[in-house]
Amino acid sequence: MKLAFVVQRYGAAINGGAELHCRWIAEHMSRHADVEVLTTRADDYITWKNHYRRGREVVNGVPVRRFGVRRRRDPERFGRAQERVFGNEHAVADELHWLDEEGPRAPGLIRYVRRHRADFDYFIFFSYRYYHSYWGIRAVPEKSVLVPTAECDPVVQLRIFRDLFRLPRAFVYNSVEEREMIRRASGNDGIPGDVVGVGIEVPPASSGARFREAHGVGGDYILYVGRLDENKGCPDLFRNFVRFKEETGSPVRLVLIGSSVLPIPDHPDILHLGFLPERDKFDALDGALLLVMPSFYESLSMVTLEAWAMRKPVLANALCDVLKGQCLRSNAGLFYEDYGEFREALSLLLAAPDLRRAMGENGRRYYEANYSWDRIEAKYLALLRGLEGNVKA
Amino acid sequence: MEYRIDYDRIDVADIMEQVKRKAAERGAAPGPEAPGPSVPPPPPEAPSERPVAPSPAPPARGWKGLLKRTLRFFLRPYLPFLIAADEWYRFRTNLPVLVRIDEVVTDLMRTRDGLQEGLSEARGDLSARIVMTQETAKLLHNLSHNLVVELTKLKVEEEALKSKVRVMEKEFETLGKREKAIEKKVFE
Repeated sequence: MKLAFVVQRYGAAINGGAELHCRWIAEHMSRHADVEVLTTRADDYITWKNHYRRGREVVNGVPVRRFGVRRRRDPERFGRAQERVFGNEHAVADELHWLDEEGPRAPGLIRYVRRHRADFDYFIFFSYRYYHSYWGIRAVPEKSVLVPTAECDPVVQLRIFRDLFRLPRAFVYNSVEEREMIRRASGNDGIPGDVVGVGIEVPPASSGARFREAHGVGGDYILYVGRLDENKGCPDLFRNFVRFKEETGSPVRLVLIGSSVLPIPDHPDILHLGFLPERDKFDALDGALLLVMPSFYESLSMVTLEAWAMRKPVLANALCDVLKGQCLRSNAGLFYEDYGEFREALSLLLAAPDLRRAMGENGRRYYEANYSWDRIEAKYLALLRGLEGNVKA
Repeated sequence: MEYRIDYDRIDVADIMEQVKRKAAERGAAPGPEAPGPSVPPPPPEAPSERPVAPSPAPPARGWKGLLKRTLRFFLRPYLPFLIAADEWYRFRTNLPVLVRIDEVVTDLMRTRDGLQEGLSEARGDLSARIVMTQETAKLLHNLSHNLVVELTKLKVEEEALKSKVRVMEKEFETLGKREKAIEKKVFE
């Protein structure tokens, strides 16, 4: 079986959600099939500036073919297009203009997909909302599998995507909630698809003590891992945490890991450690009482799965359907809609070590049953083999 | 309210119901731990309706007081004129500024009038164009409707003519046969 993975950016140093997801899946599927990644030369998701060299290279054993981005994203023009599409009555042409402005505009990639359709059994597209997926799926609908990585935001309701969701041969969803949302938006019930997600690998010897020593973190702490920005719900988290501290006098600290585009409150119990390597992240999870996930928009939340793999409970934002659904299915996390619920849920989790332990164990079981790599690879293979016809492997 | 949790079979939905109830109870009846809405600071003292008259200054004494009283006595009848003169002076000083403001306001009003006029014209043009477009659309609709009707009639007519041709062909054929039969009889 020969598979092409088509994604907006790709590289060992890129650790964004869908891109990392694609890389991990491509690397694992290369054990079962001939895999090639088709992507752009971009490294930066804000401007899509060409960074990598054109042509073919190998990343962690997987061949990668890169195509130039013809035009960088102009934030001002994109902002105007965005405002027109999401703030006004508009036509389909406006949505297509928005898609063009969003990028990454790499017509060479689409041409390659069209010309080499016979060379691959399936083209697996990651992230529905970008140029490569929209035009790529239109070029090879009968061979395309879409991993939408869709979040509950207004983009999913655009007319161009409602049509797009009815084109691919199959879908690989990240969660039940994502599948339902896409089905509601497009009525694509007839297209086969499975809820798969992504596997998580846990390093063998994580140590909370090593993390505390390396970063000078003392006392009990709750942990947030991820980009610190508004869409991730970080301002709410800061407000809730500071108020929680004022009202309860709890000694717990909040440790933040990830690069920030927000000012961090100057509070003695809020520690921002910036972006840390994987080992430190797992060490931090090992030492934490729980993971807090305030994000409004998540398609899967890999860090939540990592916390469960590390037997840590999660306190999540209930306004994100995916996080709430995952907590209910796993019985491994609580959630909150407002400060009152944040306060009660956090107080309960901090005061009940037995509850944290039991939830952590539930999380681990949920991870093993659904998100170990064996399970993920088996699900991908079953889906691809289940598609009628042209499977050669 | 204490939480009831079965640690062997954790049920997040059940725990969340308890959390929500507790959060709602705390929100409904704020105790000392969770303070209610903070009392806004008292509003500033309302000013008394009438301004309090300043207490009169004690009468001046000595020759200075005598001089003041004498001046006041002689100047009192002319006081209104003096005040009016002061007002007139102020008015004259501010006159250029007032004139300039008046000019600017007049200019602005003229600009506004011009814009309104342009806007009314544009609106009139637009309305006329809309009406024209609507009429054109109606005409085109009628035209296409009539064309469809005419085409249908022509089609029907064509079919009728084709039938007639077919009948005439048959008749012609029959006549030919008759002709041949008659010829045969004649030659026999």
